[in-house]
Amino acid sequence: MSDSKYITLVSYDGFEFVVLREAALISETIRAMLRGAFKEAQTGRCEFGEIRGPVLEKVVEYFHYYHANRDQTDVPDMDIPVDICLELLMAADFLGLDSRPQMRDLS
Amino acid sequence: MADEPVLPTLPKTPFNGLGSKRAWAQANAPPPPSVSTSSDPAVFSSDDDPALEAYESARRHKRRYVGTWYDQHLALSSDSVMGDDGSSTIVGSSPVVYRPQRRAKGAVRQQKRQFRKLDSGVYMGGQDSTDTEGDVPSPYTPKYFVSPAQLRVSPRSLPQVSEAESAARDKIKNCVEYGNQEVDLSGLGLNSISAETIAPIADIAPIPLVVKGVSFEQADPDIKVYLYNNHLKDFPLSLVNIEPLTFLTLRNNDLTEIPTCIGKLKNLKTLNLAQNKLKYLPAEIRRLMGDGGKLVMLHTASNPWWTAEKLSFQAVIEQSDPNPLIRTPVEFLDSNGQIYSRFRLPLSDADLAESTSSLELEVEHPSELEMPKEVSYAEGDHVRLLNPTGARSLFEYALKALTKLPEPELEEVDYWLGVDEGYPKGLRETLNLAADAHRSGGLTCSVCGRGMVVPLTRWVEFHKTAGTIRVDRESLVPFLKVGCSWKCVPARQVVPECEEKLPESDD
Repeated sequence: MSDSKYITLVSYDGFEFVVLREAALISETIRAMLRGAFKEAQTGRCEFGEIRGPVLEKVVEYFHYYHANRDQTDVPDMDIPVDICLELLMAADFLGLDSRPQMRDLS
Repeated sequence: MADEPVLPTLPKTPFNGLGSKRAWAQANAPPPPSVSTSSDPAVFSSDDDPALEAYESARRHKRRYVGTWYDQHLALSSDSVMGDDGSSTIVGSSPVVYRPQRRAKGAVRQQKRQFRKLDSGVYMGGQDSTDTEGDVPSPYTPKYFVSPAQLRVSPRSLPQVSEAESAARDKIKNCVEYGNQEVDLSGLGLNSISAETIAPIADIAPIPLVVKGVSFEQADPDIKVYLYNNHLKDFPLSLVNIEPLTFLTLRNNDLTEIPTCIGKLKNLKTLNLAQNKLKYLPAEIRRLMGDGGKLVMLHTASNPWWTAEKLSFQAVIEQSDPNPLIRTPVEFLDSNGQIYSRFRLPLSDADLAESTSSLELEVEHPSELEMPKEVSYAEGDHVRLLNPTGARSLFEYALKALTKLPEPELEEVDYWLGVDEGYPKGLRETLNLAADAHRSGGLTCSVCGRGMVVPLTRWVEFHKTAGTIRVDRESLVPFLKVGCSWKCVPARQVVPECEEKLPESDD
């Protein structure tokens, strides 16, 4: 179960997003959730009690955007609607999606 | 007029039983001093007011106000909501309670909104003008007249032009009128200069010389702005919109920083920045000196420039370059502004005071600074840098979207970030940094030229005189360069590869 190719992200208002596991792993927070003996690691289902559906949707969009463009150059910037940008900023901070040096475990 | 039919007399008890806070008896008293901005006598809703008979004879002096009418309304709007008999059905039955607002700005906005909703449109300053005394959350509410300043309306929404600035405006107006391209605003004691003042400079068009026999030729504008001997603390940002500006002197001001958007002044030939409080210049000025611009004269004397001693770094000197170049190590940051390298640029004064130990320049050894030594990582972890030319982090995208917010909203966000404990700590600083960068024209990576929100690498290059540029001899001028990713570093910098194992044997 935990080795499924996809994981599910759940927003606090109940929206579920099925994401490619590999894409979602760029988030340090999600990686930590899926590692070890947490419930999330067993079920492949991560619930976020603070992220609204539309915001999580944008986050998921970013996962795929990043995944698709990870080896490319001159990537067009992703468009962020202004009305959710502050929430998105918070979510990005929470999920570790800023450009600090990223730690990767090779196991 | 005399033929007009006369209205029947109204009943003695008027129709104010709808919950007006005032007893009618009070209305029989001579009217309190009116705060109406209008000089017209009150003729609409108080026609039946017996006090009106004594209207002319009352010792009533016309009030004079300075300022615009809407300033007055801003202050008085709550009065009319509370007091106007004709429209007080809603208000009167449940008096509006003004909660003390957190921000005066918000308070004003709310009052305004209610004003629009409830007011009949005919404003009668009148009997109830003192009702709001307890409601306006300002402790120094004068009896009848609340000036906008006392409502703590931010000065930006009600611009006040200082004496010096209005003098500057006059001068600019003259220049526009007579086609004089030398705008002399020197020695006016300007503390700041607004965009409205500067904007007309762009309209200056030279009056072409018309001589008989010579074919008419439209002269290209060649504008010179003199702003020396003032007290400007910030570079007037709107100056960069004056494209034909060729000469700009800001000598003897209090500038601490030159914004990056100065790179837009492609026609600038002379720039005098002497006798300011500058510590470094943006790399954009370097670009103006090179292919990107026409800058040939740059005066930089008498500024507290960063020097090698002040920054206390191990310098890299590249003699091979035709222009001798001294460079500091690179400072590595993340998008939250946290610094990962040992080398730090003293971008605030406090830091500068701390760095006391001064290293001598090693001119002989252009030592290659290996980055792994500069960066501290968590133990046993491996580093994967983000693809420098690829996608940005979500954080940066969101930050970028935030900086595009209109100014008042941005201020509000900033306010909440400061008040609410729930937000991450560094976020406010990051946002301010990003907003400042956006305001001053945005940052571009010195290496790859992409636009960016927050710098991830920073370093300083010291440049000396080059052939065509006359930089003052006494000092090397530091230019701050910024990079948009950890790979955007000066060419000789060695960056750890993505898959490279980190130096565990780091001693």
